[in-house]
Amino acid sequence: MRWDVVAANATYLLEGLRGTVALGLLVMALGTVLGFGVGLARLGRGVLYACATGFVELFRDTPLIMQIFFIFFGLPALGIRLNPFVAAAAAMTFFAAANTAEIVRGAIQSIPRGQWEAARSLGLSPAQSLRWVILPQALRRMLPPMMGLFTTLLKDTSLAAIVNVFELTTAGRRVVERTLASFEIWLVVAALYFLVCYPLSVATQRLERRLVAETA
Amino acid sequence: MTARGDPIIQLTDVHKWFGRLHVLRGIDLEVWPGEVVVVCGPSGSGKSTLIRCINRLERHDRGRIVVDGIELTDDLRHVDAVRREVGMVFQQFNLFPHLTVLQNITLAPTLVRKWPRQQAERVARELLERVGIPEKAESYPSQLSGGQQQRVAIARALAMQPKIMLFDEPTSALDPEMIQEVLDVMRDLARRGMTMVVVTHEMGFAREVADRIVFMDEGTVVEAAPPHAFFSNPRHERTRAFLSKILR
Repeated sequence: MRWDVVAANATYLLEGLRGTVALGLLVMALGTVLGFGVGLARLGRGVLYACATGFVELFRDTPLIMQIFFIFFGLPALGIRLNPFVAAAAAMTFFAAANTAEIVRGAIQSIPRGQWEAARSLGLSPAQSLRWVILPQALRRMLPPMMGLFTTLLKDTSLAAIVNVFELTTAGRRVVERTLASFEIWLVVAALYFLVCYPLSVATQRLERRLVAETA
Repeated sequence: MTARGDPIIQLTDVHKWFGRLHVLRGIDLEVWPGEVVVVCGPSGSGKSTLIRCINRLERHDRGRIVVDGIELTDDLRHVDAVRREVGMVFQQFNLFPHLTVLQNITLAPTLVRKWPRQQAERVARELLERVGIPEKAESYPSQLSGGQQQRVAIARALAMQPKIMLFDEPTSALDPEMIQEVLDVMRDLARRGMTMVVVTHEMGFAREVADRIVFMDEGTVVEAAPPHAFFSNPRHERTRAFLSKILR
């Protein structure tokens, strides 16, 4: 075992971890905002609903790795050339948004119809009913699945390595290529992912238990 | 109370279908200001659908509904105008579980009537006093009994100072010992001259409080009469059959 290799490359791996977290946070933020819009559009009708549904199905029913390939290697054929980071971030944002949209839609539709009826019969507009009555209740129901999605996204940032974006998996691969210390480096890389994701996962479970207890 | 002026609610040949099911089959009904109308009938007779049409929680397919001089059409401004003047109380209370009792009551007045918060809270506390639970202002709905929740729901509707109150089976989801406290609040409301349309099976309440009782069956109004005539001398066989079942 060559733990000295790990020590010598610790700073480099931590920089990779920083890239992972940065990409993860960016994708979570953009994906949440976009996903909310798409999810709300899925509640309506007409063109907006059709576009939102198309978007959701497209990005939920194809693998993320293929989406990254397509945006990075495919789109240049149409004259759209993105640098690796932007391409990976864009693909992951769409993927995150499509999944967020379904969480948003599901949570809103799970609120009993009587809540809408009470709000509307008090004279609140549809927008006011959504803002003050439905969303506050739906948000609580969204939290656990959203945190689950965030955990998945954080791990899936590793797919950005295939287009050579600098993040933890890329950093690990480069160190392994140089030192051939596969076992040690991948073990440490895995541990770093675990250290970031495990607290998220535990927090999600706690939150779920709390929400279940409160609604009981 | 005697009929006076123009009707505040006027339904003319109202029809409603749910898919192929013809639930309202030509309803004609007029309600005058200050009148208390109790609507009764077997389940599936269309009585809930009828009062849900009055504030357009259901859209009628044919006929005319005019409420306080405003006809209910697809024009959403008309619908919103009517809803501001018509309070509704539901079988399942439908309180907002994420808001305190006080917030439940002040939400619509501050958002829709644009009252300042202080004014809305003052009115809310007065109403809570009136329905007998001033001490529950800061509680959440889940901390209240069914009867208390329904009284809050009535206060919430009253906070908008509606001209008309609709009650859709307000005591049907309550434990027996809580029914009276809700009926007491409704009795008080009737005494103060509120125009009320009440769907209920509480025949004691109907006999005592109603100006008129409307009996519905299979989507039509079979009979409408003042309580005394309705109970002692029902004209239609179907009314008699219903009464014999419900008054047993």
